Amino acid sequence: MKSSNQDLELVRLYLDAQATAEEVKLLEQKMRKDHQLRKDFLSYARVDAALPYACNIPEKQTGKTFRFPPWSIWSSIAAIILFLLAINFKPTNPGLPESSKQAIAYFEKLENCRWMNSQEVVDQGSFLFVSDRIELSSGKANVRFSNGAIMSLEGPSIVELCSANSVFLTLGRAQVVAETPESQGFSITTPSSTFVDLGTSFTAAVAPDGLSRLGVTQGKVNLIIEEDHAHHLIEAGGTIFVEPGKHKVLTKIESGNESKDFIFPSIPPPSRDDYADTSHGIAKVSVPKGTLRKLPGWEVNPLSLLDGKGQTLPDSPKESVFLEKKGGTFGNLLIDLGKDIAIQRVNSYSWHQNQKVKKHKNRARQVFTLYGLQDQKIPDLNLPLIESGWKRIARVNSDRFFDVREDIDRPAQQACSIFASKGKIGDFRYLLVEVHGPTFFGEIDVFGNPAKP
Amino acid sequence: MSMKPDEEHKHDQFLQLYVETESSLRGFVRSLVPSLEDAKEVMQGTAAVLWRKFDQLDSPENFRRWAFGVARFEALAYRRDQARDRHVFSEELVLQLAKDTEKELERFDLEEKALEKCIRKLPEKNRALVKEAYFTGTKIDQIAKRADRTPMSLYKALHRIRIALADCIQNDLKKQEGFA
Repeated sequence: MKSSNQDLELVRLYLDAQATAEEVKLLEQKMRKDHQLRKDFLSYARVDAALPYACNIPEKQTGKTFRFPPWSIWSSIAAIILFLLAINFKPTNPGLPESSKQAIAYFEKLENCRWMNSQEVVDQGSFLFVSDRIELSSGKANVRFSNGAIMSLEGPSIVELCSANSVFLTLGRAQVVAETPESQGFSITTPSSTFVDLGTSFTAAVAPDGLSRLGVTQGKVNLIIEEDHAHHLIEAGGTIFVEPGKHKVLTKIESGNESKDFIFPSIPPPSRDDYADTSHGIAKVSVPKGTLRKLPGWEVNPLSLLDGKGQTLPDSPKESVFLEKKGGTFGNLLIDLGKDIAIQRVNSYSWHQNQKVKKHKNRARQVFTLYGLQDQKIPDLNLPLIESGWKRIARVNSDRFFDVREDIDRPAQQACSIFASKGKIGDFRYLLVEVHGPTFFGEIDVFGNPAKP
Repeated sequence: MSMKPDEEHKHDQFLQLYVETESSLRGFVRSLVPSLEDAKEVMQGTAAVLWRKFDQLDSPENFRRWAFGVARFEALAYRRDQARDRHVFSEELVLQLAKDTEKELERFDLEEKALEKCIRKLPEKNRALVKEAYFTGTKIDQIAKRADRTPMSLYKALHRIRIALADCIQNDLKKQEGFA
């Protein structure tokens, strides 16, 4: 038996986030007593949760949803497919109409592919339709779209084809080359953002926890954050990470000119104008966990992180703040801004290049997680940070950013800029840099203004 | 994003298990928090914890139950953060809902398949509304303005559609049970 209309209206108000505190309380009272109402509530909540992901809602009744057709069907129509391929599906042929009934792409090349559903049989040349979901466990698959765009997937990856010009990347990594005029505007949507190609080549990646990465190889890509109505143009050579969550935080990392001037393509050099700069005498830096590396007769003052300048030499431990690795971890740097600050941007700088061994620039890589905490008593830092009240702002791994496969590929001078897609990152008094690498930090700049009460 | 082979294997295994569980987990989380946006937040937190603690999972067979446990914890933590505005259920009710849901875990995959069929059975204009409100993420106010309707009438229409879909799913499952 279904619940009463009156009770279902309360459920509606709750699910549409329109319920007042009193209505939530009333619904709660009723649900505590009424098993059927709880059952109905859960059932409608599950439908509500599933609908945003129903990328395959067809326009017309005739549409069909399937993943990969069984081989038996393919084999029986193989001749027709090959014929169609020959006459209609030329790589750059934009003539195929976009419809849920017709193919919008096909597998151009498959290399050592293993699919998540081992029952699926997919062959080179297999057609793909609107709403098809590609679940590649390992290997490489090239998908060619009717507009000429080529999407290269590397397993493990999960992608849904939403139209002839757009896909939804749930997890994994996809590279898009959109060289034809028809394929301009090809977009990859991820759980946190949409990347729209403005010509001609980019890579999108989504980690299991929703962190999205965009790397532009050629041309330009528009990064769109729907919730913030914000656009960011990323040009060739640029890479950006988008943190998941309501309030989108972006992370950009660039390589510098390897001089004491710390010149980067778009990130400014170390600054004396930021809120945390030592010249203002407000911010403090400490090492609450871990040990600062000391040299005989020399101890680096962690406050030098805020002095407005980076190192003057490429391999200068005396000018670098870096933590010793002990028991598999490095430790934390704590920046106390004195009171809650509406933080707009945090920039960090590193430089390391061994003079004798060219490939030895391991300490240039920036690997850390940045957390923020509002003005309150600092919780025990031995407890898990998020559970104890710290808000994770961004995760930085510059080696992943630059796709470093060999040590020699790692830029020796790096700047990382963390900022909100729109407005401020948040109001925080404390910033905690949980260090995961042997980074030679030269400077950290914190831009912002006192938060409004 | 290069990874070591063992890391890659772990990643691969995680993805497989996570993908199998994701949609039912999402439905579960949705029932515990007040809005879809909140559900997204909790899901992301859940995925991050699952990935971080994946090494602690004793056996892949237990992934689903473990994931639901983590999601319940994350939803409760989120609820505590949001409790100031009092538009959330009490911890006791959240735990009760979690308990109710866990009893029906096995049905979730069947429900998901049935939902696909049921969406197809919706009248054309309802399907278009669902697509616009849920998939393209257009705000209800905007849809209402374009359609020259009140937002409230659209909220109610979507509510009726959700009920119709839930009923259709139940009927479909009953039919399947009848044939089994």
